[in-house]
Amino acid sequence: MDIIIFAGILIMALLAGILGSLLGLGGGVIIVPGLVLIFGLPIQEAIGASLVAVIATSTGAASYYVQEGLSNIRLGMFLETATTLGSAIGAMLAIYMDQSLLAVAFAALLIYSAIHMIRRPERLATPDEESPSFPELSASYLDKNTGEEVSYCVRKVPRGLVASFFAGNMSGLLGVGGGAIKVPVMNIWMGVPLKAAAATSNFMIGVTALAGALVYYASGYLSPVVSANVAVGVFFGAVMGSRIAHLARSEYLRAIFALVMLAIAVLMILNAAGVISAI
Amino acid sequence: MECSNINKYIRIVLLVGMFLSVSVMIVGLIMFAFSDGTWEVVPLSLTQIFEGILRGNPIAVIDLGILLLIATPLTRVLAALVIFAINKEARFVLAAILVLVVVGIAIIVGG
Repeated sequence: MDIIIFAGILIMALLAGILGSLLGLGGGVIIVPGLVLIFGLPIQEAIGASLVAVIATSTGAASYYVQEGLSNIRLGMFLETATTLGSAIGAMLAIYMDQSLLAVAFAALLIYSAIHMIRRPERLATPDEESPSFPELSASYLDKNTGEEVSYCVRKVPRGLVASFFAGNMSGLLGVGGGAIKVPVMNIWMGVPLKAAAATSNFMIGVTALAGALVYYASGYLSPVVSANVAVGVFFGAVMGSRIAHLARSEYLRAIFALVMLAIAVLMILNAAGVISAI
Repeated sequence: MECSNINKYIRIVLLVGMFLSVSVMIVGLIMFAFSDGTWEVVPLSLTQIFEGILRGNPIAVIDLGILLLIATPLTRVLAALVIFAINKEARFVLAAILVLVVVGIAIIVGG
């Protein structure tokens, strides 16, 4: 591999990590189009590298959330049964899927994420009116902003398992974490407060991405040099991004980036149609 | 065992795995950047990786880093499995075993 390409991928991964943690996106949404559109990698190889990077960043963030007691470990491990299965199946689909079809599916994800980013639906968990079927999944954490202990019960577990399967599917198929599905599902359907939902989603991502990454590896789509390069870049980018996270409160920045994502979606579709090729 | 203990052990697993894997990957990438880039790709198998490292192949070092990274969430599931078993929390022992089975199938079917 050329040293300029090597350094270019590292810089792109750093930027993806910084932007990802500023905007609350996984790095995958940026890494996959970057590797395909700028560096001309086959999309399956880009997704494989992105999954390895996703394992690295989620492990770093999860160690923090677990220490803070924000991740609901029991709920996470329960839903993981569905996300890992979904991820492995998604990855197997991706291996056999046509490259351009996969690129179009990725473009759809970009459009969804862009809309999601502008709307930013934050809902408070409503108090439980029904008795929970899984009392073991109830948990509590200390909210640092208010200094209050927040307790909650988990409901609609079967529905959550089904949604987790599809979140895992998206992860294995497209090389992202799947938080865009899991966080609103846990928050709105299952009654988990937003902070705990985000931390629990992150906790699940490592093993979910792992199941997908192994399928890409076994099929020869995991390039060690590209994957490690991307993983290290995104990891340090995410650490840097979390230091300047206060900047991301600006709605302006979010709106601009949502537009950028829509533009990338168009480029992915054009690339898939063969109208444009990588630089 | 208390709930805080499971958090403590899982956090240790995640932290150790993260530092080990990221540092080994960095060493491998630096070695690769300063090499002539002609090293052959080494499969992710322990014996071949160690042979490669002994020959100074940077890709073998990078592979070791990726292997350590992959091992981290797996070790986390195993650690939780042991703690749930000690606590006699059958439902969660089952969940952890299921996750390991799916990962195992992913390796076998994918390969």
